[in-house]
Amino acid sequence: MKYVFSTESLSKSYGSVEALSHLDIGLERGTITGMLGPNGAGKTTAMRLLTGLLRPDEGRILLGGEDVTGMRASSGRIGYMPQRFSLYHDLSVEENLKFYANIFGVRGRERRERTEQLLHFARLTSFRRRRASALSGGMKQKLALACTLIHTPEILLLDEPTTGVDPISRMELWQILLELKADGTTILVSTPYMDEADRCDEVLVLSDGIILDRGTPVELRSRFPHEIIEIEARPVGRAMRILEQIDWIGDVVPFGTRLHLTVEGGREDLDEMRAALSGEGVEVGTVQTASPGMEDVFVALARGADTA
Amino acid sequence: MLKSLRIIGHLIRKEFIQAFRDHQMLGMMFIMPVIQVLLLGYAITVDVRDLSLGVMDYDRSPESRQLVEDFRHNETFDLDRVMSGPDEIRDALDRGEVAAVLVIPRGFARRLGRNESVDVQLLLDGVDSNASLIAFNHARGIVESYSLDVLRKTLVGTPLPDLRPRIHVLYNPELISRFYMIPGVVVVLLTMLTTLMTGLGLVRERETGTLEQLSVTPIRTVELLLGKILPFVLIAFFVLAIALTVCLVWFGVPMRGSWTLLVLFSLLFLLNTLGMGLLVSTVAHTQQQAVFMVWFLLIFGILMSGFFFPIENMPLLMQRLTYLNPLRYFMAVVRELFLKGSGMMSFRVETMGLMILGPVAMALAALRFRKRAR
Repeated sequence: MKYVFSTESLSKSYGSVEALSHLDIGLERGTITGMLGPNGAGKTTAMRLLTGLLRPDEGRILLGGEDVTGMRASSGRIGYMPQRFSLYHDLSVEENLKFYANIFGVRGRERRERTEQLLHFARLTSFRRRRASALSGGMKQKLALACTLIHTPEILLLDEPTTGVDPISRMELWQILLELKADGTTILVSTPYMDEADRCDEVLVLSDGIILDRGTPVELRSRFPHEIIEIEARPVGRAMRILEQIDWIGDVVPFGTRLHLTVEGGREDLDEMRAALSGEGVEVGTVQTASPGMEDVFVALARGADTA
Repeated sequence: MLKSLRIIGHLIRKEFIQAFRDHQMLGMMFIMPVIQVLLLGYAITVDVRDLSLGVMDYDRSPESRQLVEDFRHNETFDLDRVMSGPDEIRDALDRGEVAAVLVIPRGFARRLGRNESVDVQLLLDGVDSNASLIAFNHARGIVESYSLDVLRKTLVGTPLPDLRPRIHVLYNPELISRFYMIPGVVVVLLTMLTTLMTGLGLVRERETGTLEQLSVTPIRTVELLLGKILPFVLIAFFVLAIALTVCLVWFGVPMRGSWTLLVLFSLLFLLNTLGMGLLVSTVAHTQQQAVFMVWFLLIFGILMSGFFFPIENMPLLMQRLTYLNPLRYFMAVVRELFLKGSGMMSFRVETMGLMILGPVAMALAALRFRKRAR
């Protein structure tokens, strides 16, 4: 069997709103699958269905070939970290870990070793006696992840683990995920951050409850039929307004002080663009063609879905 | 089974660590019962004493002064004011300066001397109907015995038939209402504390999201609920011990019944309040809602328990409704245990009531909890 954890045509509606429509996913052992999509795309619904916190209206969930649809993921094979993982704020870092260890029946020497290992893993060893309420957002997420990992689950479901986390902790979290993957853990992670998708083995692009596209980051990018022009311009807001008026430019997406312009190949007239910008008093810096990033791919996919 | 016990044990331990970290809460749990029993023990009394009395004596005779003296010596009244005219009477009653006014008409002594009947007037402020009723009864008693004395003096030498009531008050011979009210205060305290704590406990975990977290662990519903409830049973007994100490040592309330019985009934009663708290926590979405619901329930529970107002005085329909109120049973048990020292056999109805209502509340809570979790 190819997949350790998979779904067949999973659907869920809240009243008349279809939150998730015929979701088919398959997780291969020792891979990271990214679920990419904006807020409201159905990522959390998918996670809650997979853990059995919600019952699907339709479809099946298979864990190692066994139908586990609608069953709580309480056996310990699955670790689930909700978007707002809740630690006990009045317990210390170590007490939180111990509590989850005890609940999962991890005891004695195994508990001690696992606790030390995870504290070290999450770079929390020196904060072990600190109350969870006094941790930074990033440390909380790392502790939450450590609690989720205490019983050494085979499959890890993470719902937006990096949302609202500082850049350094985000990097550390991904480092941890990559290490876990190397140990053979199967991971499904949802994120609204396009750049994180590049670290996944497979990416599912989710919008309005359906999968718009799927594939490796490289595959997704290669399917992107446009060229990207990266331009440095100030002020950004005025530049965006002017560029959107030019008919050969498709999407204009800001990346910090730079703008990504989606262009159909062969139609660009860079001199005309420069003139238009300078004419309105916009300062233009470097202009170069760039390879499409995940965010460009996503914007194009979402737009395509809208116009279709 | 062993695994279940172990998980419940870990939940309880976690609950205690949390409780002992919250110093404010801990302080409240120790100090609140002492203050509450102390203050309420003094404040809540239904004895009517020292009602301020005004006297308007138009007669100013030795006889009228004798009647006034009789009023003065009665504990119910406190002679505050001698009045000088009808305007003053009206004013003083309107302003609430006196609760009662005794008016003795001109010619009081003269007409008594002529063996004529005389009316004396008692004006009562009826706003507090309970107090006025008691004042009314006492005043009537005073006037009647005065009248009897007059009769005796008139008929000196003639043998008179005499019917005198010999009243023995059992269990609380001095009729100290405190002895009756303080055990009630303890019951109210225990109810408030346990219902509120369990009501908030689960809702707090729901609010912070730890509840969802726990539902993807091997913990089962029953284990979770027990782990939430048992710590409160221990805390409740602790608070009960403090409150009872104040009640026995400070107020000298006699405890004539069996301690074992008190502990057993307390356990049975806790099953009810904790069940009620759990039920609230399965309905409420936020801690605020939970507090509101508990308050709503408690007001009914306390007022319809016979704590202040005897249940027998309520309309029949209300009396029947009180059978659904666990406080009603525990209130009766505690008071009778303390003052009468009654045995198990006199609490058959109470035992039944508590044994039915508690498990029903628990079962409902467990059912709702399971449904909500989906």
